[in-house]
Amino acid sequence: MKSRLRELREAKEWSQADLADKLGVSRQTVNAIETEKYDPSLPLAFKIAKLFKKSIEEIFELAEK
Amino acid sequence: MLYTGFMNSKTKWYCWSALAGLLTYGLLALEMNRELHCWANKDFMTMFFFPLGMAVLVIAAINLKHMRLPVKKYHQRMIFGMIAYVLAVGLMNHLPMPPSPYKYLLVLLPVLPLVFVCNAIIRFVAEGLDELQRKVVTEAFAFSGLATGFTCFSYLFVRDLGAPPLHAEWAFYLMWIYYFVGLIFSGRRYR
Repeated sequence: MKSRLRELREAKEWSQADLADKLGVSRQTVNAIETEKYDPSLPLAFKIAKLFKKSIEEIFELAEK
Repeated sequence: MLYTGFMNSKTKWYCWSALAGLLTYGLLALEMNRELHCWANKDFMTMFFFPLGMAVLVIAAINLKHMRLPVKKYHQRMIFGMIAYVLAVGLMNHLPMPPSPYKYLLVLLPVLPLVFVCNAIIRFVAEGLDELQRKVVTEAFAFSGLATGFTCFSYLFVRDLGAPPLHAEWAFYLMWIYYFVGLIFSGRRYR
């Protein structure tokens, strides 16, 4: 899954640790989502969307095979 | 005298706890060697794992106040479970053995705290970890379970060729070794 998380986080000038704190997850989880090695669960995707005041589709996109 | 002036209080606390853990490890390893003659019997795994587990619990107990709530609860449960386990083993060894079949019930006494310990581990994985950590740990446990099962089963063929018989405790040690191997590989995948 493609993710715009890094771009959105950097626009807010947050570190990965800051974002992890706000989402209640570990910094490794934020890093894995940003590097597209891990797809977040639906509740976490909703949390991220709410935090950045965007829809899930604006942040995550299903990658074409 | 050890100079610790350059450390902050939390680091100092960690260092002292590590020292206490090291001391626990050394004393227990010596005691186990004295009681069970592990070195002479070449039972290195028992001499390594049991004191290591206890040393980790001592370090955890000293650091409880620095832990976040789910981790703290998990360690409290583990410490309680392990103390109960040690007491149950002591009780089992010192009570007079009742006539069969009740002796089997007495021998199973230490299993009760272990059920509690298993429950503590599962609750921690389910509630105390974030979703990626849970995935990594679950994958490591799955790998560990399968690899231990297949290793023990495959060892039967080696045993038939003349290797020493499989001791049940080897499966336990193997399980943890495979778990840490699984943890490394699974953790690297999401790094």
